[in-house]
Amino acid sequence: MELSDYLPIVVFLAAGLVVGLGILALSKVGRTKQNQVKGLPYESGILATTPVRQRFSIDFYLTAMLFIVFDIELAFIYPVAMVLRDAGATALISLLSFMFTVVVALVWVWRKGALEWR
Amino acid sequence: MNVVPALPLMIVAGGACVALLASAGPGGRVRRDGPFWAGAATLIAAAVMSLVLWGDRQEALGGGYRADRFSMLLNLVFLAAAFCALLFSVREPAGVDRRGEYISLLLTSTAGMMLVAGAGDLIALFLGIEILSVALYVLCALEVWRERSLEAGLKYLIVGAVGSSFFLYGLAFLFGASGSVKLSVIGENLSVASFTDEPLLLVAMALIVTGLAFKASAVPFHMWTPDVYEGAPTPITAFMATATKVAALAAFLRIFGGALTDLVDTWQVAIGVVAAASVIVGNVGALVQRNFKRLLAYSSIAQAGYLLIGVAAGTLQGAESVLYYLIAYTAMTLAAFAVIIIREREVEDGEMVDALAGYGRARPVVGVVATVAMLSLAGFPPLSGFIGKFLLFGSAAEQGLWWLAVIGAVGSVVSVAYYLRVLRVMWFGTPAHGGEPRKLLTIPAPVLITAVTAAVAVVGFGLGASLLMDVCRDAAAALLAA
Repeated sequence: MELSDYLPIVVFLAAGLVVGLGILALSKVGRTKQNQVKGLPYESGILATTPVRQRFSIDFYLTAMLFIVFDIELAFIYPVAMVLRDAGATALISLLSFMFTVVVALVWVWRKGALEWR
Repeated sequence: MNVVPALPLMIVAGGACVALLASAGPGGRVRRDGPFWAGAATLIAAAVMSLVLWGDRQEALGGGYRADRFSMLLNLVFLAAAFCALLFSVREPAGVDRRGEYISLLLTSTAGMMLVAGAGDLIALFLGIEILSVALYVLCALEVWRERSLEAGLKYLIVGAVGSSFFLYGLAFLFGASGSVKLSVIGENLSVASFTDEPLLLVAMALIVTGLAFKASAVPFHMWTPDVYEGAPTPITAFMATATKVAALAAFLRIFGGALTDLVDTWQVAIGVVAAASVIVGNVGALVQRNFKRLLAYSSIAQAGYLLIGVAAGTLQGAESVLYYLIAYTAMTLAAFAVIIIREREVEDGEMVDALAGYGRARPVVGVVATVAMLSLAGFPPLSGFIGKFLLFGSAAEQGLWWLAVIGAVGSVVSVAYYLRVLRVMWFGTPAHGGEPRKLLTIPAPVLITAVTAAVAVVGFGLGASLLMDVCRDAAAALLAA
């Protein structure tokens, strides 16, 4: 591969730099008007009705974490299931040993009481 | 699917699961003692299995794992370091409070290291590095009631993640340049064509050296080391300082000493400069340290430099010197950390060098262990530290890298100053309040036995150097075996 083949990457980087610096430079040009709407927190166009710094239970975090672990596990199981007929026992054993470690973690989390809602 | 060669690895990974389940098991006794015994039994079983597999290369898991003399020798080093960390952890606050998690993470990290040493392809290599790192991030922060411990965990996580991403990016470029993830195929592909000017390959090597230098705490990627070593629970620091460094150097040898060995002219100077900088910065930094853990952190940066000198030599002789010094370094560092572990349980500021004032006279056994460790780290003959350094610098000089050998030798002369300062305080110092050192408790037997064993090993590896060198030579030869 020639070094010139990497030219698109350089162009891409340069374009990114130009756009970023351009926006920064334009913000310095001309007058800026402040009004109340501009100062609002951006919530996808919906007006924010409650304070943002609410406190909520740490259990949400634990549940979300566990959800992600098992969600990703599913993402591994599905492709293996699709090719199981060709890949055979090797794939099945590998997948089962992977699932075993996740189940060990689940048992531990359960016994430690992290699934109790406080 | 052949799994037998990967059995040591699988035993340790399985042991991690058992230790975790034991801590969540029924009954107080199982919960209290189960994880420790599961951990100890696992490590011993894996060591026996590694000895059984000692021999010519056998591949497992589709070539992703290679059991050869190189990986089996390093397995024994990792397992010994983990076993010592396990014994050090008896009555350690974090080890008592969270037994299952602590021991399970220790075993997981060990499994990651074993995967690094035996990696047959780039994917297994990266997975191994990640498994060992992620477990260590948590272990550093395990004393959650101590702010320093949390700080150490967070710092190590952020810096380690940066290092891992550099490393992964480098591996991707290496795959792009060579057309394979298999280490043996990479070596073949690169040896037939002239690749020395290939920009992809140069970028790959630069990124891989950067990533691994983070893990080995070599300059200029060492900044995290003193803070993390100081903040982490001391048995974990001892484990990190020894086993992690061995794993990073194993990865260096697997990639540069094995797969990329034909391109030695391209990477020799780069690794040489990193090695020289580590020796200089580590030794100068250690001179001003008052905290023993920070002193050993800077010392470990310098030791990484000495080890990289052997990698930079790029010869079989260099690789076998690295292996010998890794084993000697593991023994002497564990002995040094044992002294801190004993002292920090007795007094509040036990990790300061001054807390050891007069300690050698009060506890002669600990004093002798510290003396052997410090003299060996400084490189006094006939201890193994001297022989290791002699071999490393010799292998560099053989390849015409005189400047590197001279920097290494001057660095170890400088290091004598701070190693001997510890001994001076220990044998001739007087405690701040006069009289005897404060609060002498009974040392837990496992800690003392480990300390003495490590010190005996430092002397033994020095006296029996030729035997150990033969083993290291066989192991190094496995790097290049077809």
